[in-house]
Amino acid sequence: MNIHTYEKLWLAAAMVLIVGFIATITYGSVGVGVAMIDDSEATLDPNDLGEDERFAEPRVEHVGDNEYEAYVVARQFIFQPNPIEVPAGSTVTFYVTSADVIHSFSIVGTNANTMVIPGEVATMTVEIDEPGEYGILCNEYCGAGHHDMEGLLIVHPEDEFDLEGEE
Amino acid sequence: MRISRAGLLVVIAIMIPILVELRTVLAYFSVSISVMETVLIGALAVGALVLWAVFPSTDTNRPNGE
Amino acid sequence: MSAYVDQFPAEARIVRAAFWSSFIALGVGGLLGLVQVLHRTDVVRFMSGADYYTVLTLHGVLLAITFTIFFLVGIFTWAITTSLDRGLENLRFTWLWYGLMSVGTVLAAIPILAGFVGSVDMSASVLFTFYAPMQAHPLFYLGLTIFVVGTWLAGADWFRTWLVWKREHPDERIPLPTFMVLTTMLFWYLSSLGVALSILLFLLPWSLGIWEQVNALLTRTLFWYFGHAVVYFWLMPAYMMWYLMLPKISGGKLFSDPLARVVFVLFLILSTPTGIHHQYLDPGIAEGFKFIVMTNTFFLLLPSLLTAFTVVASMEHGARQRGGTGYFGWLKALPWRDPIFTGMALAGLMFAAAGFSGMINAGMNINYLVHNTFWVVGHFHLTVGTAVALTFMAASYWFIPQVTGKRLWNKSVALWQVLLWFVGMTFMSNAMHRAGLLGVPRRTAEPQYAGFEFEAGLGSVAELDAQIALGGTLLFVSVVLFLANVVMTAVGDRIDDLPDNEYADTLSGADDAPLVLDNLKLWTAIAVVLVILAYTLPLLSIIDRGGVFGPGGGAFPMVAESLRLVVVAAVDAGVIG
Repeated sequence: MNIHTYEKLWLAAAMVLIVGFIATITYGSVGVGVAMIDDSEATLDPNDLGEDERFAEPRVEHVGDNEYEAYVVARQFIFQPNPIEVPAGSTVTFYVTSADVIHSFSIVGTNANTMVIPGEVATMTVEIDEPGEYGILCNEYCGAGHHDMEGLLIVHPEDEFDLEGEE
Repeated sequence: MRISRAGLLVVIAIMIPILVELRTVLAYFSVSISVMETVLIGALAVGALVLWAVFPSTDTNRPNGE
Repeated sequence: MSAYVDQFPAEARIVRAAFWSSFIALGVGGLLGLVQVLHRTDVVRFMSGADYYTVLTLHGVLLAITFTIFFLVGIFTWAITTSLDRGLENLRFTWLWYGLMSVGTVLAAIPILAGFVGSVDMSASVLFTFYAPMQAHPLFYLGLTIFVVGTWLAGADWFRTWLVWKREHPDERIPLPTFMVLTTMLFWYLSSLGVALSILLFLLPWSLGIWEQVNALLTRTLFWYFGHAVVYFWLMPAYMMWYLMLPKISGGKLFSDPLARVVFVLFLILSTPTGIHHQYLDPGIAEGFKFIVMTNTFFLLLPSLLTAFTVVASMEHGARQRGGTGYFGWLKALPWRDPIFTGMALAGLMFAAAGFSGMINAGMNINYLVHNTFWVVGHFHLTVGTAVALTFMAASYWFIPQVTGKRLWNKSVALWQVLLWFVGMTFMSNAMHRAGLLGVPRRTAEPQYAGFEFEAGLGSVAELDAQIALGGTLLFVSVVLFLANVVMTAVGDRIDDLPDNEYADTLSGADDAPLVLDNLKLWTAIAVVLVILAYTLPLLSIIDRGGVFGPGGGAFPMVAESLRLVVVAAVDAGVIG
């Protein structure tokens, strides 16, 4: 098979490009530490969320110094709890599951974005810097009221934050 | 005509994505232009192109591809 | 030589039938596209948000499945018969598969359309991806199955014709067009198996009440096993047009036959073991699997980059044959007045842009930013919505005269049509990409929220909406011009001086291609092995974690919500109850 010289050059450049892309993404994973949503949590029956200690009562919990865990349930067509309140300068791990169909949990204007699949628990650890209000929306079609499904993440200034039931 | 009407039409069509993207690219360099300004720049560019196409020096040698 | 309709009158009939089915879908799907674009951007709203999803389901199914696949069975039939220079073996069989595809489409459309009618308790507003546990009416799943079986039989028809030809020509290379059809069909068989299993084992029995529950992640993964390869099923016929028609219309020859074969072999091998890249953000799939799939996906860039080279090189060759000179001066010598050429060339140009946004989508951790946002809609309106759709429309201007024996009604209108598509898509897709970066979601009837607003980095959301509405309107006008042109052509008079039925010759021909390239068994085996490698572990892991039928949950039939609203309103007004 004879391949034109230019075409060989092009082929080589294409391979360099491809390998470069893969290297960039690998750096994002290993160097910067952007982890993918994975299979770290066991499955659960979406009909039994009421018996699950995390999701029976969707809430935010203080688990360490600056560390919080948010247990979130997405269902047609709301997020629970709403709003989700955390302090600035904290690290929040979201545990999100669905009570019915497939949804997403997406914090608008950030890359905190995950699918929410019934039976699975999505976990995502997010560093929260700035105080302010962030919209949360569902970006997977989930039924006739899909466009009404929204929530709010309120990030309080560090010194003004006080989690209910905590001294 | 320097180029055929069809050729002119194609060139104008291809200019549109360039104009649309120009705004985004300039914003990247902190130069923000409004929609109206973009439309104005576009109109000027297309106008200049049409003038160039319609008033040639000579009309004897039509390019290939019409 | 003569026109196709004179060479193969019986086959021309089937190609015509396939084209008309395709164009009807294009017309209806295009109209629904306009309705949607105006509703979403809040320019004109005359239906409920719930009905939007019914419109969207129909738009997706009609354009992504019906329009594309009916068109491609038409040109594949043309490619097989023309390049093997023989008719199909049994035309009754041919009409059988065409009939199955048509019946399947109608059956799937009935429950979708019923979504508009409150009094019918039937609906399938589940969108093109029909993710469980959203449930459609059984007819929807049945219709899709029958349609896919129709395409399988179509492939059998073409393979059979080729095998008969091969017996008569044992020492000849597979002609390039036939090679393209066969490799495309091989990966179609391989990939559509996933959706067939998902429907037949799970979704259809579940919708009939035989199973109580299904595994949402498993059926979703099986969908995407098919769902990415299907985009190459749409794209390969467009590539075929770029390889076979574009060089000829440019006035030259195809640069390289062997590399065209390499490209199609690469698609056969790599198009299926990439599907999980649509599931980067899915819980329940390990990061490692996502990485493997990403690697496969990036290597799929290779055949597309090779195609870019070959197609541009062939165009340049054509232009120089026509007297073009200079580094860039040759561009002027291309036949820009010809809508067939201009349409395909612009489709190719937009596909290059689509390649860039696709690379962003493909990067697994960059994907967080754009996953399920409007960006993705902008991306695939450049790929299937332009690279494929515009190429098909441009190719129609060549094919319709070939299969009807009539002169194209109006060449100038055709040129305007392809340019309008290009301009309309520029406006719409650019704004969709930008809106996606702000976090505006896809598949959402009314993306205007009560508690927050999207922050535009440049301009405003209103401005992006206006740009999308403008683009969508231009695209609709383009569809109308296209349909008017083909209908007026079809009702015209037969003429005798049609161009011959030919496709591009090659500069470097089949003799330069190593024989191994034609070894379809080998490539199929490699494709199967890669699929097994990429999918066995993820599927086993999903089943191991959640069970074949999932950890629990119910079914959520998508019965028209608007009906419920009407009933509630009626109760409130004291009309009933």
